[in-house]
Amino acid sequence: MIHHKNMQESLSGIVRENRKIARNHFRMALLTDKGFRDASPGQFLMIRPVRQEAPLLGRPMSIYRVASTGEGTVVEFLYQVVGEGTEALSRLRKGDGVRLMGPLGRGFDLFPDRSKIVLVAGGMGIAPLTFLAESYRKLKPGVRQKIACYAGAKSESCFIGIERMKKSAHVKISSDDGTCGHHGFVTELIEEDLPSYGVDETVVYACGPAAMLKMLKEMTDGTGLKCQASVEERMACGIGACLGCAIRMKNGSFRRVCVDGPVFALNELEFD
Amino acid sequence: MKLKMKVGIGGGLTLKNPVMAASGTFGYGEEYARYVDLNRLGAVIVKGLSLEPRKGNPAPRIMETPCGMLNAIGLENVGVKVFIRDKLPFLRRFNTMVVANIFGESIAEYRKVAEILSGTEGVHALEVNVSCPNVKKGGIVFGSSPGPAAEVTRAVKGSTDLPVIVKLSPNVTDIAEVAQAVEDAGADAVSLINTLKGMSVDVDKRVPHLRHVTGGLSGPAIRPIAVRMVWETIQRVSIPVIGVGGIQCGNDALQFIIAGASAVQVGTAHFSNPRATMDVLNGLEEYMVRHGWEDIQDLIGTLNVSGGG
Repeated sequence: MIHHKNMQESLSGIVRENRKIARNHFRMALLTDKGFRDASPGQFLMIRPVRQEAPLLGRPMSIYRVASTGEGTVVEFLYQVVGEGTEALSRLRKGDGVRLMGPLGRGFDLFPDRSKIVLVAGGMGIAPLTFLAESYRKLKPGVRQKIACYAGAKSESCFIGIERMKKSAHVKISSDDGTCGHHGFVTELIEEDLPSYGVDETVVYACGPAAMLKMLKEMTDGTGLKCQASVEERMACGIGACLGCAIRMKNGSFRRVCVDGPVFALNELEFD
Repeated sequence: MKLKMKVGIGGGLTLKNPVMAASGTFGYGEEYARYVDLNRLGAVIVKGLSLEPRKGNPAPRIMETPCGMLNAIGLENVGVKVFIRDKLPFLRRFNTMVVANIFGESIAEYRKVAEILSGTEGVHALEVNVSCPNVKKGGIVFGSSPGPAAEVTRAVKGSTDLPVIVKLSPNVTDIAEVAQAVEDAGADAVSLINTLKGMSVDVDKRVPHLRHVTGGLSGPAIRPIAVRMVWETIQRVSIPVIGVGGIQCGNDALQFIIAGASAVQVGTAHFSNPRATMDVLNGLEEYMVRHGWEDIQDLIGTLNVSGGG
């Protein structure tokens, strides 16, 4: 059955807010239509300024929050300026139009029966994990799962989203340069607590740089702990057609990050 | 004014309009069906098919460049048999032409793939990708010179009754010469251009942006080269020429059509605009209404070079 009504879906949004929140980091809120209403944590959107001179391809951004308002659906994401595409995003102003696609991809699975939820966030990874923590909190009113978030960043000036995460989770932080929290990698923080997380009661979610995910994988391989990781890769179409984002899994097969992911079981991933 | 949009692309094949979705940019159709009414497309050209499934290259496979992008996907595909079994049925639900893009690492492979698809209902034509290496001849790309390109064409033509379009590589000195050779070998049409070989360097890490080092450049940046090559080819062949290269809107498509192309393919534009094919088609129709052209076939090849600026 071909859903012709989807062809009516607007592939656009309007900038509601584009706020600098840290050294090189921004939070953007977009007004769009109800297509984003049912976005789940771990899913992403593809965004591209409408202006002609903007870079050709949209940029994939993990969804941070979705809210239904009188005007429509507001979707938020965090981003860091790292190149031409994000540079172009940082210059957008309230009222500017954008091309928008989403929600896209396979998000995190929720396990309402687990009592311990562990989140491992590296840098920008805190965004989808915050959406996840808030989704867990909405899940079972009256039942409080223990949600522990281990958040790492390069430096104090790079920390984003911590205050909001603290509303849903107990947060421990680390910084590479020691200006904030534990001096070292976020994986060192979780290593201490790992033995206290029983296999049947815990689920671990991770989002951050490949080096962090690789270390976490080495720490959890063979323990039987359920771990899901959100990865990223350069994208063109974002919907599974071009095969540009395909990555090699441990079993040798290739999976597209945009439709088969971005969330995968950590033990299925392969790192260089 | 009722517009006539039908065009012939050789081998007895007529498209309802000149807009085709280019191979490698549209998957096997399913991914875009929610954004585009596939019934409105002139044709869908599916991702290139080989005899056996291929995994493709390791990541990173793509890199954006000014007004374009490089890709080194590595011809990943499900293989011709899985395509017929799992992908073709979906496409057959729509009223559009299905063109199977095919390739091989040897002449024998091209033959086998062509044979398998020839007996298959729902496939209306073959598009032959000659921009891949002949593994038996030290990896020289088939389409890099007239001889091997003609050999592939002859082999495919000999293995099928379906119309055969040969997709040409632009990484040659004289593309019109290659076009002529494949025409002589029996091609029903040619499509050009495939991607141009390119490279991009990460200056911070001092490594290539693509794991494969080099890749194929596509997008608006290549359009002038593509238009030029279509123009040169039109002078030398009698078979229909299909134009490909950086088309994003009706005016882009018109450059090719006016230069002589009978149809066009839309590719990279899909990545920033899933509805690109519809925008191109609507743009063509708007132009025809505005300038009083009732039949698109009357526009083909109307480029006036004598009074050129």
